[in-house]
Amino acid sequence: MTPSLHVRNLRKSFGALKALDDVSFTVDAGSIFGFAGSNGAGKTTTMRSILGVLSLDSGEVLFGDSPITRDVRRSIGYMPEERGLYPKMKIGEQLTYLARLHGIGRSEATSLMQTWTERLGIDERRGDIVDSLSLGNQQRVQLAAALMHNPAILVLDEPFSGLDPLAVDVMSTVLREIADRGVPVLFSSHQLQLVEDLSDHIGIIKAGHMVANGTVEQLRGASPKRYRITTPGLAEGWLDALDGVVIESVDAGSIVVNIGNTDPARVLSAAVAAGSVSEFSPIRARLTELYKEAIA
Amino acid sequence: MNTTFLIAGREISTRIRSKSFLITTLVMVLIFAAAGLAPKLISSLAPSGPETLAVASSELESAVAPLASDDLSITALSSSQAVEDAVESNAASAGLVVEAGKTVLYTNRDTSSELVPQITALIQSAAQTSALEAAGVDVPELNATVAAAAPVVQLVGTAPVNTVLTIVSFFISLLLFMQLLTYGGTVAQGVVEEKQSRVVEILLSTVSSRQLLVGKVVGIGAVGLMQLALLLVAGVAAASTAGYIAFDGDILRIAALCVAWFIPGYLFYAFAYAGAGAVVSRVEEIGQSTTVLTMFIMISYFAAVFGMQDITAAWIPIVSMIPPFSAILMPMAIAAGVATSWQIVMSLVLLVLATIGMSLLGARIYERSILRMGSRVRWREALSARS
Repeated sequence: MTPSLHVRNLRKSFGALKALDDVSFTVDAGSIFGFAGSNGAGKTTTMRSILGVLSLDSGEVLFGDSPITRDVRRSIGYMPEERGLYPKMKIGEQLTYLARLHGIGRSEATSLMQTWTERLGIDERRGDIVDSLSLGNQQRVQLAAALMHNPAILVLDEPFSGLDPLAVDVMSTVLREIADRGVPVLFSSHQLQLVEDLSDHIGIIKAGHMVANGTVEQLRGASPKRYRITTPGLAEGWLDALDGVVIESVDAGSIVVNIGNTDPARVLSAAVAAGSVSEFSPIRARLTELYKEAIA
Repeated sequence: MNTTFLIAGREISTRIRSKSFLITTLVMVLIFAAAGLAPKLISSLAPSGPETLAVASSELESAVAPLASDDLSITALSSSQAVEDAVESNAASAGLVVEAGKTVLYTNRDTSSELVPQITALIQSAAQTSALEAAGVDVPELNATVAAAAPVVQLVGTAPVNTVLTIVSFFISLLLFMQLLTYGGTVAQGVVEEKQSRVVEILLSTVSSRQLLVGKVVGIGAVGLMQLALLLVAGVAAASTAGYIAFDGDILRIAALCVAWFIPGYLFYAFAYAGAGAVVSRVEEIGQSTTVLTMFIMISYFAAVFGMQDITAAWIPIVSMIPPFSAILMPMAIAAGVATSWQIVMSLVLLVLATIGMSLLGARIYERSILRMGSRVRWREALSARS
């Protein structure tokens, strides 16, 4: 069983600015944790402190049950927010070099480089220097650099920014694949739809605070509050017996209700009693709404 | 340690494969070889080859026979007129005849300047010998007495300056000046390039800043050292081929010393330049943050140039003991033979101590500044206790 990554009570100030204020969350082994938050909220600072690139004022990062060691940190696959590669070095050489810095032997590093450049569709560009690549392709090289050494943990800061839809697909597939190997995967993004689609677990950070933290289902609330009743019309007063249920909107063919704490089964039976109901379904909140709510 | 070598290896392989390095090295090797060969090349442009001395009689031929050598051949011609014509037409470079009891030496524009006094002395000496013999003097005994009266030459005080070694010592200071300035600057540039391209963040997620810094300094230094050795080989080979310096133990010792002295001197400046590079975020800003270091190297070199006016000046060995000036001045003083053993040892000890101090200081500044993008990091912040 691969250990999970735990972030515990991180605090970090830059002068008067509290960049991280008691940030805690867990990235389970084999799951993808999507990290959302506006610019300057503390995503990058959190990731940098997991990497140990930045020193913390207090708090700890655990891998499994014990504090993360230098060796484990060396095995993190990291994609910094500010992309960084040697601009004048050939891609193949560069990836091989970065893998070897992780302690991988020359021949294995070469074969890993070949595997990942093929997988990410940049195998034709191995002999080219980074500067000659399009931004999207540079991003692929950057991802390859993070994946080259079979990382025990993956930490990706805004991996999707600047990617075309095709590259987004490749990136998503690869992240899921890595997670399926049992690796904890942490990534940040501004693209909430992507975070929602891809993540098993979502954390939202605001001004150094975690304002939301849970699975997508948990964030939406354990039990949905809003339901859509598809019906040509219901008899007047069908809601009279149900306290706390409010009609939010009535369209041609459907009614949206907020049921509050009422048992949805009671609402359904009241509706069925008052007319013909072809569908009764919970309305899932989009992450966008949750996000706005959380950071408001 | 492996990681450090890996980092140093990348520095070496990317640098020595770059076109600019190859071209610069080639040009510098040619310049140093040319500097060694130049005097020889210039003198070879002047007319050379054996000279011919034409004489008008066999008597004269035997009289000047002691002058015959690879550089001077002697030909006997039939008449005085023939000799004069031969000299005039440049078939001979000088001609010796006896006309009306008087010896005449014909010369032309190609007659070498040494030939006239040589022939004059020979003829006068022959005349003197026959006159003395006629007076009944025992000439061999006279010669022995004269030879015995020659004074014994004895040097007291400082030896005269060895011009060749002084010139060699100047080239040594020039070489070290160039290498320190170039490769110190290369370290600063390499540091800022990694910072500017942000690759440093990826590197530091894998390796420690110490490993990264030491690997970079060692790698770039190895390239500088190789280039320095190559230039020394080119210069020494050219100058000894041309015959200006004897290719012996002395010159090899001086060359080895120059290479050896480069190591602590380079390390001192490399760590200083690394710290100065780390505080800025863009390559364009390197100039201002490294000004002081560049000035130290320039001042050392100006002192070397100034020292050439009088290499025996008392200040040279003194200043040659003070780091970091000693990095350039002491090898020069040693090559010129103006430093004593204790001064050399003292200079090396002080330079090594200063280098250790500077490596700690430079590494500290580097560590605290390398991830701080944006505005220039203040020295006080870079050196303060907390990062």
